[in-house]
Amino acid sequence: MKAKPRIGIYGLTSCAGDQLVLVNCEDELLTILEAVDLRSFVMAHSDNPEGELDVAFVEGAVTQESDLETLKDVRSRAQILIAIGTCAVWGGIPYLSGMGTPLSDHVQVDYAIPGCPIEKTQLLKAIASLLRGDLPLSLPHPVCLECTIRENNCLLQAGEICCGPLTAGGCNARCPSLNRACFGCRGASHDPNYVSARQILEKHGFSVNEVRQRLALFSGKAYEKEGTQVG
Amino acid sequence: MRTVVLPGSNLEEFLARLAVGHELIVPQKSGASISFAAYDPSSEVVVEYQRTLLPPKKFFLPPEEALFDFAPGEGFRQKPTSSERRILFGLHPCDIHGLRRLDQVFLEGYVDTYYQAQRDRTLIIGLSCLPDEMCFCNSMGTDLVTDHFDLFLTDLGDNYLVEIGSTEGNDLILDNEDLFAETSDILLRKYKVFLATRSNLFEQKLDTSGLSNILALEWDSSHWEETAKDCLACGRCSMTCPTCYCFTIFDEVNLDGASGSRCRRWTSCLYKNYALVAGGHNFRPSRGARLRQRIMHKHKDSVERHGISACVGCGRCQAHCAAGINFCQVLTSLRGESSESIVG
Ligand code: SF4
Ligand code: SF4
Ligand code: SF4
Repeated sequence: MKAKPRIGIYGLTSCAGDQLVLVNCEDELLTILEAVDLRSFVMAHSDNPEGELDVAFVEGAVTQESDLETLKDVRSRAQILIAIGTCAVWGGIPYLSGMGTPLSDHVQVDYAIPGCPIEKTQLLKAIASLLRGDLPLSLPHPVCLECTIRENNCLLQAGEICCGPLTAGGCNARCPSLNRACFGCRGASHDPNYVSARQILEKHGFSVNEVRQRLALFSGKAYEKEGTQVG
Repeated sequence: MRTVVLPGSNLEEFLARLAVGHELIVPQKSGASISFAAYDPSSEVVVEYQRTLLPPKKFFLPPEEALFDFAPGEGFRQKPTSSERRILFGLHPCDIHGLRRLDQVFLEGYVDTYYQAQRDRTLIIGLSCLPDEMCFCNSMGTDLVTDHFDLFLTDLGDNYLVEIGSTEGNDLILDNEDLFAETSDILLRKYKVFLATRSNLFEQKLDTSGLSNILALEWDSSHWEETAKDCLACGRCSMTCPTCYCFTIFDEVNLDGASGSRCRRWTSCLYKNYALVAGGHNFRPSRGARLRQRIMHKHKDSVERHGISACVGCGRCQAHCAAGINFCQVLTSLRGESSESIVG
């Protein structure tokens, strides 16, 4: 990538939590600002010249006409478009209420950093890879990999609604390591087997509704695609 | 093989002494599970346990490790490995056999220097055990060890019978002679009784005769996809397996966009993108094909390549599968299917 990549950071309908993660990278922020040419970041400064971009980070789901306009405009100006946060990647909570759609429903998304909010380490690694001229690596594993490496006992096996096997890894199994079942906030893994998960949970005595509510909370789109077949 | 006796009441003192001058790793309670972890004087060493959640492979092939650093103008710098002497205490026979399998992969032919460095600095002290309903090491011929350990302790009630497997193991005895006694005939008899009693305790069984041949013939069986309907592709069976050694390699780049480290991390053939290659082709797209891969690799490919199954019967994969997949049962039904088709 050229010496100083031109970067833009945008928010659609969202809580701005993912943009906040970047602002909170206190120790690294100066290094990043030296390495990139930050063109547009409404959250951090007021003077935002809009133009050609090398990389655009976009947060939030598309819930209204103005979101779609912004998204299309950003896409047309950006070489690489990266969805940040589970709302941008999967539609997140807005999708569940039938009000929001993920970016990939509307434009080409080159890379996704899921999470609610995103993990700082994954964001920094992604920025570093981009600076080197690579697309960041996608994390191939579900939460269970990190959970098992941390030698946690399995909460799903113990009869809790743990979304770990259905959920993209990268959080270092934050919740299961605190003995809390995974809520699936990082969105669907590469290969979520909702049908089996549902059968396991129904065997543990949960109702179809309880299971759906939990499994579809953050990645309803994936749940509908993979999970609606009769198991 | 020379044997001595360690009175049970001396074990604590023996371990405390081993911890001087060695990094000592012992099985300990960690939450509701048992884990191999660093010893300190306050550690509660667990001598009676079924299986640790992660096998000892984590000390030789760490879940994630940096292999070398790179920087423009400086080239590559291999990460130094500690050379401190280390003792792993409390390995069951299956886990010692598991290490032998890893040795075949990482030390024969192409040598993995990272693994080798960890292996070279480590002494193994084995410990006897009794099976639970998931163990089937006696089916795999891995319920006993005759080598690949420095000391092996068999719990005979008040005493441990100690088999000495190496000169370094012998040195540990010589350095602590006051803690040990000579073997007696009564103890040898007790040892034989222990072996006989133990072999009667196995509930889980796997008929391995001709298994690799049968598997080769059952490549196209509908069983694979049928079983894999339940599989969550979570990879827990691979992480907990003492002989699953697959890792993925990636670069971790620093914010200068130029320097960084090349790293490896455990992965699993159950993951969808494990067999994804350049150009977007995936040669094991279905979960059935991936589950088959895991089983074939253990019970067929390894037999063909190394003359020995890569499964040591520790039972971890099936004990930790949230979907309740029992690998012994899968293999048994495959065998059943083939004998039916011969009759038919
Ligand atoms: S506790 Fe949850 S995340 Fe951890 S292994 Fe079990 S299902 Fe996976
Ligand atoms: S532990 Fe069970 S569910 Fe998870 S990948 Fe292995 S076989 Fe599949
Ligand atoms: S395949 Fe299962 S039983 Fe065999 S060694 Fe691996 S974890 Fe143990």
